[in-house]
Amino acid sequence: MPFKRFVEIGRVALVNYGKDYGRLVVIVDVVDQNRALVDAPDMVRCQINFKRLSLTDIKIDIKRVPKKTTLLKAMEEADVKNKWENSSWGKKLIVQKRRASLNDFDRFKVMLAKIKVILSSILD
Amino acid sequence: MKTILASETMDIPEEVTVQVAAKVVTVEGPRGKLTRNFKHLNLDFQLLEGGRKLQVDAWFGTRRTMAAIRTAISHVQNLITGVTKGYRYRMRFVYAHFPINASITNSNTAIEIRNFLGEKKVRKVDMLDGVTILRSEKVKDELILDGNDVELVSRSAALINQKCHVKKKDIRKFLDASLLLGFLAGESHCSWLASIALLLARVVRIWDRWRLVGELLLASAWRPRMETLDLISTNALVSCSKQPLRLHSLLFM
Repeated sequence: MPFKRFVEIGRVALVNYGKDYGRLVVIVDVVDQNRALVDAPDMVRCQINFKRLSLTDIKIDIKRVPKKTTLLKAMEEADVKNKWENSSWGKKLIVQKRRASLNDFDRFKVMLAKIKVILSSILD
Repeated sequence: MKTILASETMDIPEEVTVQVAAKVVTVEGPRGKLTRNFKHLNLDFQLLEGGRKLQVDAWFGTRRTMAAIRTAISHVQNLITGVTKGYRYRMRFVYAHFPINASITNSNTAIEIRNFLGEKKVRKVDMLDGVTILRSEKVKDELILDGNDVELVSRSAALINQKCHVKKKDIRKFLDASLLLGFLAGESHCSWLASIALLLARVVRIWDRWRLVGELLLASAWRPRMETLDLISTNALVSCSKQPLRLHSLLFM
């Protein structure tokens, strides 16, 4: 019941609104009550409102406002990418992305696969 | 300005178990079980150390919500003392002339009050859930209300008190009442309020008697003897708390 994911330096969050939608970022500093300074391996460090962030369970060990190289090294050590992709939330997002990027032929193939699964479960 | 986090912790004694789920606190102890719903508050209730401590948090709270933290803890403390020691409220009857007649009915859960200020009306008060009432044997004109939930016991005492209000009279003069004498939660005790009221009633009665004497003397100076005797006989029947006006009307006939 109490809160488990806190806004802290090193907390990994997902951007859920705006230009960087869907990007995993690390909270690197807190600007004020509403905004954080946020950084990721492939973006320029910027400030973002907390309302645009969804906190995840992942946390890395960094000091306040680290250099980009330090940040990258810390993310490697904490293995953020793998942890994210193996978490149920991360897996769901990957599936959603895949589904959104299907073309018509792919969707046809998916339909056939679904029918096959249903038939095999009935016949067994 | 919103404070990011404000929290307070309280200790829970050994013989009590506390459960918290969705802002509903249940306290269980030797005397029974009490629940209280804190859903109207925006607070975070958390049991720490396997139930030995209760922590109450307010996240991004305004002044109001932060004030509610301490009150929530006080309410839980009242639940705990209710469930370990219980609450006892004592009330005394205060009257100048007409003895307040109280009978406990319904296996100690209701009280009927008669002869308040000589009125024919019978006042019946039902005690709330879990509250018992008895007349104290040792002390004259005393009621004892017992229960686990302080809110219910104190409310029952207030209900009795309110039934015995004097209407359409000068309440400084007509001091009859059934007053809360004090309450005990375990050993604590405060008993000055009704003692003062009792004293006051007695003082007024004495003063009134002297006033009557004075007026009788005045009357005897101005009236023939027969009428003075009449005055004396009527005053003997008169009660101090009801008749000051009538006396004046007699004098100025």
